[in-house]
Amino acid sequence: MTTAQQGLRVAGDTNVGKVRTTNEDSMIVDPVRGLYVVLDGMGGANAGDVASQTARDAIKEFVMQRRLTMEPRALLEAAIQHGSATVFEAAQQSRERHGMGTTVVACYVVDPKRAVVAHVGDSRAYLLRNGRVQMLTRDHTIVEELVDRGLLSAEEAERHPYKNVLSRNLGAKPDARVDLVDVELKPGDRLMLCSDGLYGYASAEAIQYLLGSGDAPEHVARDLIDLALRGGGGDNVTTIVIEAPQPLPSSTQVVRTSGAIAWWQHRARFLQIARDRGLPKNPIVRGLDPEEALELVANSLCQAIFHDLEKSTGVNVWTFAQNIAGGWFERSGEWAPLRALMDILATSARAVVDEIGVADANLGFLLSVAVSRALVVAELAIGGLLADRLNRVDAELIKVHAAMQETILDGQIDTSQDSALEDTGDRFIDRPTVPFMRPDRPVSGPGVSSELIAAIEKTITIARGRTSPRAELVKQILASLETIAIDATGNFASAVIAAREIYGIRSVDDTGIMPLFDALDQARIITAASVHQISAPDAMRAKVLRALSGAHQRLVGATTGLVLEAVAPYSDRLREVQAKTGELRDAVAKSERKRADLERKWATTIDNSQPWEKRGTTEW
Amino acid sequence: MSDVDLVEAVRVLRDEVLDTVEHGDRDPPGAEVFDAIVSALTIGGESIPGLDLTLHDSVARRLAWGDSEEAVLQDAEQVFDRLMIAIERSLADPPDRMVVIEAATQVAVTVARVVSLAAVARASRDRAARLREEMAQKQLEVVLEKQRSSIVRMELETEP
Amino acid sequence: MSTEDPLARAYANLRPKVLQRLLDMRATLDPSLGRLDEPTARAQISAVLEHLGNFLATGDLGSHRAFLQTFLAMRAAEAQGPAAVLAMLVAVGDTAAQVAQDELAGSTDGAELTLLLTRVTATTARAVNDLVAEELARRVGQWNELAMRERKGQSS
Repeated sequence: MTTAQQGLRVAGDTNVGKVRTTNEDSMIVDPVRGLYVVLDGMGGANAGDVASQTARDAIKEFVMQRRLTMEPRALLEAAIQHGSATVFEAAQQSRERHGMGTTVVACYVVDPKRAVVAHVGDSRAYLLRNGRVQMLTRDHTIVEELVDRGLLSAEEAERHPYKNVLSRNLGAKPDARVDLVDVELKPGDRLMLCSDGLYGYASAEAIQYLLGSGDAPEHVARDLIDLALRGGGGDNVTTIVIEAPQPLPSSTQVVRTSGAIAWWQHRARFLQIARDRGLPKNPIVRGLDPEEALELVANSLCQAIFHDLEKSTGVNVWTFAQNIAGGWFERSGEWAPLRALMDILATSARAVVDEIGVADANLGFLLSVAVSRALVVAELAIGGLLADRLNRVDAELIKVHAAMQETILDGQIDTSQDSALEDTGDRFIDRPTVPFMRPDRPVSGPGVSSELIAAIEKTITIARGRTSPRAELVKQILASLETIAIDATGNFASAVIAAREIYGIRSVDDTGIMPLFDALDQARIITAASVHQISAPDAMRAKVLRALSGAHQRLVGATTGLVLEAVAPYSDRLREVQAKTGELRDAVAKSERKRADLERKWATTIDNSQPWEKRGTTEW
Repeated sequence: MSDVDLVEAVRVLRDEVLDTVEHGDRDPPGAEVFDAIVSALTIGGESIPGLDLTLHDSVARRLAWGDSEEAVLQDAEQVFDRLMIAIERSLADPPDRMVVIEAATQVAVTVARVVSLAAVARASRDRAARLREEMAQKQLEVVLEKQRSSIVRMELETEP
Repeated sequence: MSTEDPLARAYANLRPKVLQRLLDMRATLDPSLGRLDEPTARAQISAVLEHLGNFLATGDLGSHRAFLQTFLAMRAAEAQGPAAVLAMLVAVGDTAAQVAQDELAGSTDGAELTLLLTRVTATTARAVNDLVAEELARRVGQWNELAMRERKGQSS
């Protein structure tokens, strides 16, 4: 939807994404009151959409009622806090909704030159100005808070496994701490509000180029959604684009338009130079006849540069480069042909611009800068694709490495020469460990009379009878529970020994660990049901259940303790490797300082009479 | 006792079971476990839907704040033990005690599962991180080697 | 840096302004740069700006690649991906060109320096992608080797 308010143009769009079945995002686009809000709900069993809609309605109502009597900052803050209180109350009233919450990012446009932006959580606000995008909000995540408090370094934050866990949202408590920022709107500015479903699935550069494309807000909002869906669409995505009134055409823009026209008028020359430099023979266009190749590649770039010049954007060249490189990489193309193709296009474009400059120096200068800029944009787009490929190859390397661990432990691969393949042992085998002793924990059981022992034995007998003959692990657990429950020593050694026997030999991954806990849970259900079947007074049954549940809890605790022991070496090895990286970094930094000193000295001896690109000859 | 009354009877034990007084406004350690037990009692049944997810989120938050898996597990064990003592005193009716014990045991197994899976996920991440570190080290080693050659060359070129 | 090259000298005079503008906007350049304390961010950005000055004077592409490869490797060791590093380097070049345009508007040096800085940014972006492509080829090779060893292990 697109609306206008005092010269502003606004559009909002939302999509459930490609993976989720419910859209837990919601939004407000209210041009009458100048209120624009994006909310991203969370909570199990569809409570998320209830949370975001509840907060949305509460915020809207509050602003409707109070906007004429409150100052803008106070109004927005109070509205959001009211939203939080409303969600919190709704959560208390229903068990299924307990714990539900929502993030919020809101913009209240006071007039075409002033807005207030507020947020809680990790939904964001961006400002596009003069072609550059900046974030107006900082995510409220636990990791960011730890960094702010000095408990985590910036580098540790980058690597943190829980870096997306929120520290604030609406609904967790009755009140919420809201961050606010005043924004002075300038002509041509664009504000964008979005949920994490956008930036989580689209690169910052792509967002910048789309936002700066000059297209109408409703097209930009839709294109941003498409971008997120193409990036995987793993979450609901919502975006609102708010455009301040456009500036009047300036002299710079008039010159830019003449530059675009001059460029377009020289397109035939561009195609000719590209042909002469060998474009039709590049492997990327193999199979096409020369005219087709030039049309597909050179003419497309020519058009892209023209449109970008007209609108002072980079989105067309960006898209061109992504399409060419993306298509080539999908065909498993090598880097060299792509580099050769881009170099042909770059040198051809520069040659054309040099020719234009001979006739008109100012125009030549403008176009030189514009073409260099276009080439940068193309490299940025390609760089993004390269980085994606690198990530994918790294992920495959890690997978292969993990798969090889299993084979190494079976002795099938020789690791004597490859330290990267060594591991400390995925399996919990015959390493003697100190039993999982807890001397500080009191013996809390009911005491073990002979009557209780008999009732426990009866219960386990019934439980065994209810267990499938194939469920060996469950039977083993039941036997252990009996032993632990009647153990009166209170030092939990029996639990640890039982846990070791049950744990046996298994891999330290979900496939190895899940069956263990599934069996423990099955044993729990069977045991509880069996207690109700023994012939005994209620008081005795309660004692039996208490004893067996206590045993269960100790067994489960001891088993988890073994899992924690099994994973400990991974952290140790990582720390060792990180220490080595630190030493290498220091060595490289020291060496780089020395190299930079020499470079500086050398720069003073350089022969400036030589053309710039022919002065230095360092090989690297 | 009715289901609603039983839930309430357990809920009022919160301050006793958790160290609420010591922690003031902050959620005391183990709160997520106690709240899950109350939730399990409210919903009822031998397998509570959504319990895994709820506990996964709350355990993830604790781990994100820097608490270790051991600490989360110890807190869960402490909550279980203290609750067993508390209900022994406060719930006269054995069937009522049994309902609470079953719910608490279910939560205990679930917490242990969640903590174990978090630990396993951490091991997997650590292994991947170690590999990435080694790849980064290779890059640094290549650079160091090239820097050394470059420095030797530049020293020769800038010699007076 | 050469004292005879007028463009290099003009750049040297503008460097403090470029540095300050980059420090002011560093959180928008790169969230991880935004998290660094000011002295560390200043040191990192200054290193880039200083090298840029040397490159403007020497035009030595080999030396430029040396700097970029070191910069990429150091940032990779800090868990910074190459796309983010590229974006940061481009933003530094863009900002330098913008400051040159603003501060030296109307002068010949201003126009020439703006153009040179824009071309240097394009050269930088090209070089970074070449370096990343080389690293990618190395890792693909490593992957193929490991995959072959794993297949051999499975079949034995």
